[in-house]
Amino acid sequence: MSEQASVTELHKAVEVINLRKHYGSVRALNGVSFYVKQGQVFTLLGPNGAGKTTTVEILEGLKKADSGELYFFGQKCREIGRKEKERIGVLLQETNFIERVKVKEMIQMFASFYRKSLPVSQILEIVALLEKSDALVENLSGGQRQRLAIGLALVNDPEIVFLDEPTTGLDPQARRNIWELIETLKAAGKTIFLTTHYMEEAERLSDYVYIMDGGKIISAGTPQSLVDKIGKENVVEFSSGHLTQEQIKSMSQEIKRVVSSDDHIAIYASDLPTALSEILEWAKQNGVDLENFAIRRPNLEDVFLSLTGKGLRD
Amino acid sequence: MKSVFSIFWQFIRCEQRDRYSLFWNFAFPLIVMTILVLVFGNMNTAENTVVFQVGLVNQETELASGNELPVPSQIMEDLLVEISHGERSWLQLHQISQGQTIESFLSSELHQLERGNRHAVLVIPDALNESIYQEVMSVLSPQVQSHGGGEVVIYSQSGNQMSAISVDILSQIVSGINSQINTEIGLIDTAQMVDLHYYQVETDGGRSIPFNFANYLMPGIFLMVFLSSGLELVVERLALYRERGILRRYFAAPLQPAQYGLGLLMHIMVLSILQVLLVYGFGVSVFGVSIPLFTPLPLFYLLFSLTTLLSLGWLIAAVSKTANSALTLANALLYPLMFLGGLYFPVMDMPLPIQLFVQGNPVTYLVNGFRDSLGVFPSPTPALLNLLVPSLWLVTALALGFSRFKWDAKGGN
Amino acid sequence: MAIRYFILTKTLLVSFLRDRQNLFLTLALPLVFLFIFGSLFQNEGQQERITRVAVFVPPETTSDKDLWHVLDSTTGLRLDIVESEATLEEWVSGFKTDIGLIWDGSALRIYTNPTRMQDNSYFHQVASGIRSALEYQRTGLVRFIQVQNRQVGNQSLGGLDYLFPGIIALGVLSSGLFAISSSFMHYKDKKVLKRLMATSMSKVTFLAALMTTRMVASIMSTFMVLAAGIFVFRLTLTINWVLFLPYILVGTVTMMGLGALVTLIAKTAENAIQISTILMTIMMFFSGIYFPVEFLPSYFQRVSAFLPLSHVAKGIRYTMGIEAMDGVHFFLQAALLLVASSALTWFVTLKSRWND
Repeated sequence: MSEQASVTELHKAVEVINLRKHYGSVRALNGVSFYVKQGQVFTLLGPNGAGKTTTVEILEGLKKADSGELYFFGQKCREIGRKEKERIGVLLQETNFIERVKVKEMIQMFASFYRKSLPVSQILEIVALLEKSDALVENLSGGQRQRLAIGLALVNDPEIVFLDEPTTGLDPQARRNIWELIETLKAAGKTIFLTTHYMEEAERLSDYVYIMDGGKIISAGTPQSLVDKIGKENVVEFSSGHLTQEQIKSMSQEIKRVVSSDDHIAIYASDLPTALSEILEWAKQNGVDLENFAIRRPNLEDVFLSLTGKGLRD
Repeated sequence: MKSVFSIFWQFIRCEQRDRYSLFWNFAFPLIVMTILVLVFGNMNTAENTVVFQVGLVNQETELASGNELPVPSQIMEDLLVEISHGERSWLQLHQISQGQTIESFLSSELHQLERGNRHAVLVIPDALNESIYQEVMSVLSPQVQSHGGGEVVIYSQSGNQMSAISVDILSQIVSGINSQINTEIGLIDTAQMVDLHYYQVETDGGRSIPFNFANYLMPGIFLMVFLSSGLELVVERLALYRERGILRRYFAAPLQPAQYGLGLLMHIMVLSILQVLLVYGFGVSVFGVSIPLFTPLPLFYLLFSLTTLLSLGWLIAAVSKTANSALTLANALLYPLMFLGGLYFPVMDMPLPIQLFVQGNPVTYLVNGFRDSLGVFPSPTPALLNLLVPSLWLVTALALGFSRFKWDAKGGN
Repeated sequence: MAIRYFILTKTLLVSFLRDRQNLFLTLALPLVFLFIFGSLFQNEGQQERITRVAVFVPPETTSDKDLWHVLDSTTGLRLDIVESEATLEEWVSGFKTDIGLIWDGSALRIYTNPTRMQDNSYFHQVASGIRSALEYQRTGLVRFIQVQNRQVGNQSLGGLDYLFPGIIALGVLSSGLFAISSSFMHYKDKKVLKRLMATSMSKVTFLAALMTTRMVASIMSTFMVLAAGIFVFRLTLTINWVLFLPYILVGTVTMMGLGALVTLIAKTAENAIQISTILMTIMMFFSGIYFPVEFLPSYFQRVSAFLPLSHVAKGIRYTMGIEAMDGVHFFLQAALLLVASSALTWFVTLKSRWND
């Protein structure tokens, strides 16, 4: 985190220190600390149940932490209240709209909740829904609904935008549209706080990633630095079948590290061509069929796997 | 305030775009009013407006009397025929047709009675006249033995109120003929006859307008409309929206719950005003309703009823965990509150558990107080209770509602 | 195929029973109505009904001996003596008594409360009975002609004659009507049907299972209402079970047919439910639940003849021995309803695209 050390309080949009929250006997947040720098895209990455949504809801003012400190643009506050809400925009994980409302009416209504807001036409343009301005919300497609929901998060021209799982359930084209939108917002200087369990989304959009699991931040850094930490090796993957750890290690001398999860093996090798031929030779000699065989560059999923032994999608 | 109005306008827009909502809110109260006025409004004068279907089976064979006395069976038949031929008669008489035998006619008439196509079947038995003459003779000359006189049989349908009424009317006709015979033979002093007059108690606070069921019903319809708004509309806009995460999204903005509530309240008030005006206008133009609605006390009751009934919806939304259970509870309470509150007809002589419900039901007191304030009907319950009981409900519902209502289904602030 | 049908039926039934709203509509609502209206109407047609009479005899009246003799000897009256005409009127309007009676020596003045619409005609009968008895007492009138009233029909239910079958019909209506217009449409909208079509399950099997579920619900509802009637209202019923149970099933199918008709007009499940709810509420007015059908003006009774619910209620009355009906007519009616509704239901559901 050394590159962050020089960030002064002024540049921090939001900071939390040692946040804790439990639901009954379940400890959702177990001492979470991080900060979000202004003008950047931060991603909170982790599987379901890691505590991402709880963290975000506290920052959105929907829940209160049991203990810990919260700073909003340098000011300490007990919770995110009305004053703070004027400066943030929120995309919730699930968005349901009331029926029989037109797109522009929905935006107008939300705009009225804030002291200052952008013109409806501008919002429609940003989210590319101009031609749908008079459509009823229930008649929008999945991707259009999500764009509307993002539009509602931008209606007050917020300084921070919280996007909770913005592309879950969308088709690839719709997903790409949303990514482009997020990149536009970033270019406009907004601070974006993204939560996702899609690794490629985190990799593509984020300036900084916090990896969360079991109610704690377990690692942080830029996507590249996180990947670099687990080594610059390429990854050879295949289904684990009935192979034992000894058998795998014996496949090649080039194997630096083996990460295995329930059904697949990821082998990190420094010299890929050598490792590859040795592994394949071993398989041929031992009569083992290596299913779902693939070679790729390492990614955040691997980072997560190496840190927790679990997949992001588990 | 800007947010409040914006919520308010949004609800108005949603409402006007929903055909079914428009039906329930505006057309349905008018339909209910129409049906009930047509049905119950006629009941008090049922004897005047219903046409009774009566079969007349005359088994008497001796039609000529040997003396100057009138023939009772003929008198009876002629009288009934005359009544049935009268203009807008209450009686439709069914008599034997050519070629039918008496036995088959009687059998078919009884069959029709069972099927519900006749209200009554009057059978003039054979030798009726003879029996009557015998009895007359026995009265005039003590040497002649009395055999108890003649008997006419009226068949009616068990448990059928109209049938019972027709029996009563026909019995009175027979009784009248009997009196006539008594008078003709000088047995009775007409001065000793008893007159019978029916009156309805005055219900109009001395305005000397006869009881009008439409006037009586109208406050009930207003309260029905408010009860629907409270139990269904409020519950939906709070519990259902909460569950769907709609409220959550609102409060992620600087919108405060009180502002949402106020917007919702404004919407319901406007809706209620429109409904009241529509129902009132309809009642006045179609049923000749005449009530002093736009005077202080009735207006107070209108407002008081609305707030009390809305608070019930608030209470339901507050105590229910899910939207499904909230809506089910609302539906479960709607009909008992309506019908066991005396909205459409008075509720009396109930078994104890139900009587307790009636007495605890705020609707009972609201409608009584409202009707009294309009001079439509004096309140069967004391005026103080009419204010106190609903107020208790209002205060309790509001207090419990505020303490228990959670705006976030997922347990947030 | 039979196993599939049974398992599917069981699954659908369990799903149905776990839905509180459905459960309420089909099982609880008829009971709620039974308790409300059963209590309201239980007095009607009762043989030993007690009528409260408040009596005022003005002090200037000289001859009231005959009146008291008649009042004391008339059964079914509970007498109260009041001190003034004003008090009498107050009692009548305050529901403290049923009839106010004033005797001034030559005329009886009878006061009733105009809001007691269902009861007043009975009170008038009571009053005219008192008048006849009084006349007889005073004048020494000889009864040359007497009237004997013989009643036909089932004597045991009294005022609940129309109400009870009406309530059973309500349960049948709820479970049948919403089967197609709500459940089926809901499954279609949520693409449950589409998912099923991707299996080897046939449309016919699914529909048969859905219909069976509803029939089970109807039977459950019917038995609950019957049980409540017997144990709470102490009704004695003479039900022709051989006809009654199958007829409940016929009634359910009839309502499904109506639901199928609704789906022809409605585009979505939500619309279908709303239209069905409107239909149900309006039909309830004509089924003898809110008030006995005979009180409907004649033109409404004609409208009532067009509503499937009226016919189903009538058929139920026949099988419960409450109303007479031509046997042949009954079977024809049942067959017609069954065939037409089944055909409509099957046509609408099987012909519609489950893959949409």
